[in-house]
Amino acid sequence: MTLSKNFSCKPVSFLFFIPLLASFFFVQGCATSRTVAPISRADGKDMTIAVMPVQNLSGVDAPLNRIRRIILENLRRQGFHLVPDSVLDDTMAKHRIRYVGGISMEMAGIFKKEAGADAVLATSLELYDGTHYPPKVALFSRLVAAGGPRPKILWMDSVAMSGDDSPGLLETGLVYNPYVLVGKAVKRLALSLCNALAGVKTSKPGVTMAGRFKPDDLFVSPIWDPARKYKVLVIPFYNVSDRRNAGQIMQMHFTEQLLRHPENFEVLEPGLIRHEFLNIRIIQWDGISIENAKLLFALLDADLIVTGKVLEYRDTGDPLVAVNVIAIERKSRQIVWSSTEYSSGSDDVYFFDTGKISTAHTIASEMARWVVEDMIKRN
Amino acid sequence: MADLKKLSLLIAILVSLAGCGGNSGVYHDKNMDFGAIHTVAILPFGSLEGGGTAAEMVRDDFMGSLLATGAIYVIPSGEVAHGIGITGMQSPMAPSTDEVKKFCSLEKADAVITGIVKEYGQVRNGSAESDKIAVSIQMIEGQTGRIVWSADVTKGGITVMDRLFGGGAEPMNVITQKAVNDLIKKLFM
Repeated sequence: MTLSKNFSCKPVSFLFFIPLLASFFFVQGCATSRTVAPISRADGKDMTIAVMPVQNLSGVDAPLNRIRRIILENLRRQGFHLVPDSVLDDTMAKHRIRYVGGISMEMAGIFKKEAGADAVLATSLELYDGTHYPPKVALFSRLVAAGGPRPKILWMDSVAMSGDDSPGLLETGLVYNPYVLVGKAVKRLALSLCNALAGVKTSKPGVTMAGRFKPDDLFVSPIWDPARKYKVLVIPFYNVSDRRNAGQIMQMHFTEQLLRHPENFEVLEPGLIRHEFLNIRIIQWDGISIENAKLLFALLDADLIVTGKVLEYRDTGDPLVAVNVIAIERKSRQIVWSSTEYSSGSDDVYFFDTGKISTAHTIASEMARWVVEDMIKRN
Repeated sequence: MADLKKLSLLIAILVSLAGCGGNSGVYHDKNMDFGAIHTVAILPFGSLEGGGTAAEMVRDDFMGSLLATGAIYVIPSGEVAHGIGITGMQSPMAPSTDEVKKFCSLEKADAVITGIVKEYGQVRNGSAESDKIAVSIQMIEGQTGRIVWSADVTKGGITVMDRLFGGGAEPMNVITQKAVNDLIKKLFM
């Protein structure tokens, strides 16, 4: 047996390693280029922002204060002017402001006059799992203008991350510490806020095979006019799932996706909607009634109500979302849009977990994106 | 003689098989003009499966699919709940004639649809397991309170192939969608 004669071992020149090392350092450099470059004051940084305590929609105990501190650190690092905590706490205590998930007209006035804020940053924690591996976190954040006749949403974005999203080479990219994951998520949101205030248009990366989010049933009324600009109220979805706050979470997803198309939709701040719900004592029973819809249309001067029903919203195991969406039009008082969809994280995944989704947030977000984009395209 | 016996047996089998091809589990009122039904209210479905969201899932799927046909307008579920509250309907799963008439005049509906989910979930047989759904549904006309259409459907369950080779069971949402599509076909046939 002369195995060795088939394999000739040539001496490798040291010069071969030079381009290899160069390319390695080049790739390392790419990673650092993703940090957010400081933006000049002309890019919205002269704005004073009141950072509200984080609203917990996760349904479990979560370190909300620590998450808020991470948000504050990131915003300070970006050069934003923030309302001092003592001023914010005093203002909130004085006016007994307990709800932190949105801004009503009254709250906007208070923050403007007494805390000197130009805008309010409202953050909602959708998912937090720091006890199991991989840790998971999902956040919504939006910036609402405090001045003006009615609080207006200036920016909104969301992010969902799991510790095993990017395992990388030899699993060096795995994240075990939930606070590191929160830091990464907040950094991404801060970058998005900076870009938005600087007027840089960024598109959120979508999931490949977006066709998998096509609804099972879809109804579009002949009344629906995609060319028209609708003033939209996204009200909390009626929740029949076991997941707490799933109705509000779906409200956030649709608000975010509709806001991405300002030329087609004017979306009202959820805090205003909640305020009217409390004012006229609306309690949803199996969804919104036409009588209540008429009241909301009149009080908030809107053309369209987007709502629906959450049948399933599951984050454990294989994530799963089942939702029915309806849009009720003001003039006809009828459903002009309806879609029903059921999707899990492993749908259409056949090889090596390619395309697998690890959070219900991403599924719901993609579902909402599909519906909103189809609403615009339809003719 | 033996040939005659064989022939009569064959005819008997053919006749019994032909009977299977009929529209079993469907009733259409022959005097009803279904073209006059433009708006329906789908009342909350009952469930013989106990708790859970089985009835909600099937009802919602049925509402979406019926609306998606574009032939009939379905009143939003929130408005249906509002109507049930105002008319004081005792049992929306099985309303009385008077309750249906009152409800339809209030909600301006031409008919109401009621339903019962008889089976929803996993069934097991030995080592084989599969999802199964069984639903029965009926349409009650708003002016007279008469049942004008009734249908039932069963989908999923363990097949011979499942028993022999195992696996291959479809997820619950796919089976529900198939059952709902079957019901809608039975409504428009």
